[in-house]
Amino acid sequence: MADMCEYALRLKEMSKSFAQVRVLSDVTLSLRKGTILGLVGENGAGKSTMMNILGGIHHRDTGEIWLNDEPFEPKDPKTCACAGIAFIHQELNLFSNLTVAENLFITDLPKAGKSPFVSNRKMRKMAREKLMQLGIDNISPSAIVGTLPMGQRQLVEITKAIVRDADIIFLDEPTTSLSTTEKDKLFHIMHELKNKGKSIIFISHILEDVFAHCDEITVLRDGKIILQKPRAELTPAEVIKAMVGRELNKIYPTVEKTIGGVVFEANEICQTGRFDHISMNLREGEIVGMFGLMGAGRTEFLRCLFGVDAIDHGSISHHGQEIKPITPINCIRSSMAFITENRREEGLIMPMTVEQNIVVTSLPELSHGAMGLMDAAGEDKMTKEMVDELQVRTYDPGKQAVINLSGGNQQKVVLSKWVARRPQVFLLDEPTRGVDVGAKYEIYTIINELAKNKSTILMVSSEMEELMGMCDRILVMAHNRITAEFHKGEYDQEKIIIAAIGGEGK
Amino acid sequence: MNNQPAFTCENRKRGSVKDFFVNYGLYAVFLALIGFFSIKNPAFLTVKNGVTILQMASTLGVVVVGMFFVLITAGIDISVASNMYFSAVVACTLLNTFKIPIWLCFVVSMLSGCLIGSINGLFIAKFKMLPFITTLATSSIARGLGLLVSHTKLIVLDQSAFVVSNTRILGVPLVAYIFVLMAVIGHVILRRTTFGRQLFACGNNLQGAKKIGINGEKTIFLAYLFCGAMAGLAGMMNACNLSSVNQNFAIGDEFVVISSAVVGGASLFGGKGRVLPGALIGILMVQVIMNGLTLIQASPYIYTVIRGLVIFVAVMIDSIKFSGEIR
Repeated sequence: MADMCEYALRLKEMSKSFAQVRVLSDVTLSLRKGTILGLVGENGAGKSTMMNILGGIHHRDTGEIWLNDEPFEPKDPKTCACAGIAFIHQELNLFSNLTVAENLFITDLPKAGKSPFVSNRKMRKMAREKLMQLGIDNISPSAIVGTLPMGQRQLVEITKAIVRDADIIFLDEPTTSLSTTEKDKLFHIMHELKNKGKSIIFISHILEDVFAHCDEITVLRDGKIILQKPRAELTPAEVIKAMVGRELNKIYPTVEKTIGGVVFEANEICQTGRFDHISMNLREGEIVGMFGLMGAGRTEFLRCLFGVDAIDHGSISHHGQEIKPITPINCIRSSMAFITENRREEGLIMPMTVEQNIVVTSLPELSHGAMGLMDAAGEDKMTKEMVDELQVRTYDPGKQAVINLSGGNQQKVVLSKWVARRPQVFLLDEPTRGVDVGAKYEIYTIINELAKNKSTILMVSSEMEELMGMCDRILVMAHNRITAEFHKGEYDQEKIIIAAIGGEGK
Repeated sequence: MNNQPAFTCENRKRGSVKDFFVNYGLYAVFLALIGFFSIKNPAFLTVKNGVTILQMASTLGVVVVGMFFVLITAGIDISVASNMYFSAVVACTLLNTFKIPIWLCFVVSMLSGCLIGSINGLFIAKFKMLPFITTLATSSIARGLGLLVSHTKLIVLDQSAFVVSNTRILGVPLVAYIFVLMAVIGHVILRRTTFGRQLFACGNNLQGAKKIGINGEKTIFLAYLFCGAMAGLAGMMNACNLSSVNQNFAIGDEFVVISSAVVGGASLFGGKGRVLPGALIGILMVQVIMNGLTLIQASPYIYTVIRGLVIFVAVMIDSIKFSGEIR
């Protein structure tokens, strides 16, 4: 092969920052034509930013992109699609009310000869041809997409890439919602595409799959390429080491506290299709971390514990009292608090003031009389207490809208509105996501203070380092199961990531 | 939608009584009503009455065809009745003032319908205004403009209007042919043109449609434009039927049109519906009920109650059917 067109895609020293946070630094990566490149990395390593840049959604700060040895400028999604780059995300972009054939050709519907009308027969025929090219024979072109199982929809989405004649295909965690047979089918198609000369970037955290199907493997960590090597020269152990091998040099606040007996228990939690008899318990004053990779089921588990999502079987008890039925209202009544990962959409009312946001969970307590009139002085008092206690930096809590606060201060407001109710069990989902380093430290201190005051904390995080620094115990979740439990003192990055990837850590 | 686990299929087997109600309940009630009406008044089940029903149904049926387009985008157009009035007033005023030929009246009426429709479309597609409020506003505007143009006086049409309403071809009124023609045109546009198919895509997932390069704004604009044109055409048809245009012309007809469209299989959640046979079935069912009520000499006040009930039941069934994903 001539050296000129050996690579389908090359990135040279590409960097990208979001508000002074460097997400990608000097990423250099090359994708050979007709090969599958496995891209692995922890959550937040920069995989999605990289994809968004190549998809024309974000723009890089520096660096070069070469497509077939020609410089390429990904201006907007359309340019990228025209250049033959296709993305297949976990959330599919299909129209569930249309047929498979219509989904494949919706932007350019086939017509018979010079007729101005869409030819359904021709469209079905062309769709069948395209599906057969990939060896997909069990999907009818006239089936309505909404009636197909997820696995088949994924195949339709891949076929769409073929229809649009893509040369480079990104598959982002395509296997998470698939059954084993569907997965095999998908891998078969990946090789089929490769044999046709297409180049594929396969993003997955299932190392088995990456090693079984990729020609080369690249590890991304903290926005840097740690290694890129042919698969034959690598072992899974090396890849794991590259994924987590960062130095633990951050300092975490500590606090003198005593851990009491078990106060919170979840027994045999079942949710059809997801959780199968999961049990865990929390002790008084304990900070427990929950680690897992994207899609492991951590957030969903917290939602079950707080009654946001219904469970089919299982019980939850706090101080020996069973919470029944498990609904958010009952959980709040038995002094639990749930702080979601999504503070912009679920945690805060963005255009309202700091004060309004803090008192919103305590409105019944702050009102009196049959009319439920609000006690303005009480609101001010509570707000002042919280702002002082959690050190929310705001020029006037009664006037400043939370939308104008920094991410860290917003998160403190979210915490305050729950802390104001003095709950005993905190469920925290990614409490430090999108928060700068200084504010992170402050949030850690707040969490420690809560634990010192005999509250119990269960925190989900994607940052292993943070959990190792903060928690008395770490539970690891993978594929909707708790696969390992580590106590302080026996933390080991590699063991934790192994448990998070496959679940053989115990 | 949240990524809900995909095991809803199992649940579907249960509750077959509910399924039966959802799928066939409306037809069962309809047949029962036909039975009831024909026992009460033998004149109900006659050819002559059938022709009358057809004549009545055809006018609003044309609007139902337009309403399908709008509902498929997950929008709604409640200005259609006022639009009918406005367009009829404009066309009939020209007819009486300048003695223009009746066919030109139809053209004028459709054009003024397009005017209102394009205002709806522009503000909804381009400026992202809520369809309900936008069309509520244009409804009031169109009605008011109509009253201004007509000086709130009754407009009586000349002889040529009778020709339109009384022409029968093979015993079937001319207006019914217009309705069927419009339904066929609407059906072909929806099912056999790129615009039609993309309209369904936009109604299902507008963001997704834009992502793959469909011009969502233009598509939605055209849907409202088409709906406006149909309302204009229907306005003139109705004026010919009544041979006059009074202040109460078409008042409340938007409810009949929307409920007929939903009864005929369009969904308020968008992305769903077939004009053939949906629009025909929908408008005929609603019109048969209205006609039956007249023949059994029901209290005139009961009409609005029944009209409300029909739309209520239709929308309720639509909501039960809506599974959140398969639209």
